[in-house]
Amino acid sequence: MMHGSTGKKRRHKGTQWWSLAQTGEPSNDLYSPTAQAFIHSSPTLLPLTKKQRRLVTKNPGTIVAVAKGARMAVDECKYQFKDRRWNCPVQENGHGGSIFGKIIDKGCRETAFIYAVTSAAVAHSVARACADGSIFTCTCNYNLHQPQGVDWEWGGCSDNENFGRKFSRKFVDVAEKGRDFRFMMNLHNNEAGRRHVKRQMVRDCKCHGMSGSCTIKTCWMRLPNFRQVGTILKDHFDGASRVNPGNEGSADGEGDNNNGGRRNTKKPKLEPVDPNHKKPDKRDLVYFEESPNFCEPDDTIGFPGTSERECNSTSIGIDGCDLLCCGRGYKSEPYTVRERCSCTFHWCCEVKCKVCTRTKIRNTCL
Amino acid sequence: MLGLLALHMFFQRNLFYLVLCCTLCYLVLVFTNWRNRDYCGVSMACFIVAYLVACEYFIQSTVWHSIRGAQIILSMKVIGIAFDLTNGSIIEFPDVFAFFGYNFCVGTVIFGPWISFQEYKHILSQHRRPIKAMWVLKIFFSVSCSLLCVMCSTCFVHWLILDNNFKYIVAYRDAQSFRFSHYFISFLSETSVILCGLGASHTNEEVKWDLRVSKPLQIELPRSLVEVVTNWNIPMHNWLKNYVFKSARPLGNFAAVFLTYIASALLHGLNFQLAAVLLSLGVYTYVEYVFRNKLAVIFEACVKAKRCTDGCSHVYKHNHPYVIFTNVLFGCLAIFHLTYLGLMFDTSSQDEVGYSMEHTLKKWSALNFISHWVVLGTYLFNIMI
Repeated sequence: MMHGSTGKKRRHKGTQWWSLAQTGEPSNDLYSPTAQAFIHSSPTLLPLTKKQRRLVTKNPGTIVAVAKGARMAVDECKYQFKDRRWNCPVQENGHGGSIFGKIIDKGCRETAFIYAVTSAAVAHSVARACADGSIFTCTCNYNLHQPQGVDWEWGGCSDNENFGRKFSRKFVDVAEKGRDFRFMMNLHNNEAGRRHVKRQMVRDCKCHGMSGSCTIKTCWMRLPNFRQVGTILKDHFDGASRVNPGNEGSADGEGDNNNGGRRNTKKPKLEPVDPNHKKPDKRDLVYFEESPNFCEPDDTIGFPGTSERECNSTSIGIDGCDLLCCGRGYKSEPYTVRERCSCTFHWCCEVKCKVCTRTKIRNTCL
Repeated sequence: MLGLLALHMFFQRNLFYLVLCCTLCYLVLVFTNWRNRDYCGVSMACFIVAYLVACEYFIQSTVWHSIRGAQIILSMKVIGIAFDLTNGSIIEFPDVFAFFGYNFCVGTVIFGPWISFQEYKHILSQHRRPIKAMWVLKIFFSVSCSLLCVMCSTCFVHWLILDNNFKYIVAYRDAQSFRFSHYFISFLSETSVILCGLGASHTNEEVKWDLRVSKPLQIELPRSLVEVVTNWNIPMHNWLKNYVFKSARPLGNFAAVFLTYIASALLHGLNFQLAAVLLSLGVYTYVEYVFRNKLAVIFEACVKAKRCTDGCSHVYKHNHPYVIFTNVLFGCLAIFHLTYLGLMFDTSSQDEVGYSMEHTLKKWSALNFISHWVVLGTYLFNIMI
């Protein structure tokens, strides 16, 4: 991949907002007045591009939602990948790079997941914030109620998924300008993440009627739990399609892909590498590089490798010691824990426990 | 006829079950009337219970759950007529049109409230329709109240109390949301019945639009559970009092109260959740009533479950500080019990099909069945003093 340093810098600037995930960590509560004041009072500290900053000032309240979204994304990524070799390590800010490290310079599955999950998280959290009323420029979504025949129902206050998606599109995708194939891929994955949020919307209803019967219902559309979105994205991570940049095969080159498309002079198409596979649709994650094996420390992606990682000696899955330690073996050391045990219920109403000391075994990769 | 149309709007094809029930009821009524008028009431009650059981088992649960409300009203109406025939309040046997007209009266067919056959007859025989400014005002009041309540029920309550609060507070919220949903339905039914011109009280030429279906204030800030139960659905309360409680009175107080609640539970269908709540309520109110009566006698104070009348014989009247304190304390206890009982009508996935037994027990055991223990304690204390 031949990227000039300027290009790299620009791209990193666009994804700097990810580091907002760390702003709330000391208090762990972004709605507390101090955290909010911190974010609002120092806009220069904001790791945003000019466009993003304009968008945020135009929609007061969104910055809190974006920060919350960023944190959600990081937590989700860590949760979904906790058993894999690449466990979504997050670096302290200050490298000038992204908090996910240099893996985002790659074009592998992990990169695709990061882009999708962050964009989905912003859409999710902004949509929820709209319905909460903490963003001044949007409200609940009232358009979802269409009278369906005689089955007339009352429309309630739905999470404003529409606004969230549009905001996320403007806010997140701003980083990915240019004609580069990598940008195409990132845009595609961003959009895929958002689409999963939209697709998982569920209808919630409340019944009204004599003594709890259900004569009338009031309904509203609710966003899914973000864990659900994360799990689905992880499924798509496993089934992601590897793509070629169209028939031309010119993967890179800054803006030089005017050279060959028949109709697609603007955008290179995402064609699967294996022509027997189906084309990736809008909800599929795409990548164009195989992932490294993440066994050894790798400076090019800033990954420390799997040594010192804890593993499960009985599992034969990817979290098992064999696979996680890449066959280097592992060491087992006993350690003691103190925990509550042999709890009994005493009348009434108390539970009494003893404190036991137990020895457990911790396995770590060499 | 209009009533049938309204039913069709709400339930589409499912209105068939209601019409079927009504027709069968009429046949039962004609038959028993021909054989022996004295058994009208009892046989009708038995028939309705059988019909409800059949419905519970044979109709798809979502459908049944949605028409249940209307079915309760219908059952109350036909049983009411049957008992009135038995005890002679209605002398002339109602013809088909009157019977169907009454049961499918547009103002009461969907949300109730229950009105008596005599009231219905009265409105038909009126020459002048007393539509006045008060009528419009009352309708306006009811509509605004109902809208306010539905907003409270679905939005405000959940907005004010978030999910991560202490579990008793969350329970209070769920119960309150359910209660407001009930007020919404009550006000809506009030509106519909008044729009029909029913529900006025006539005192020497003067017409007062004072029908209340439920009184939210007395329920949210109750004096006692007895008061809550009375004000929850006033027409239904009257119905139960007239047709069940008074008939069962000879069996003794406790039995009569219990039978009333059983009848109420049966009317609501064979649903463990509702039966559990209603029977618990029955026990609670009984214990409360007895306990507070005893206290009132011992301390000669106005601390009974019902408000004292002006000329009561107690030494300490209702404005004495200790009496106020005691009543507030009992009020808080009632709020607590209400929270506990109403908590399972939350917005969970079972909302549309009715709640199951596990759901009820799970919810209650999450709070350690605390309210039942409290009542048991109260009862034991009551026996000791």
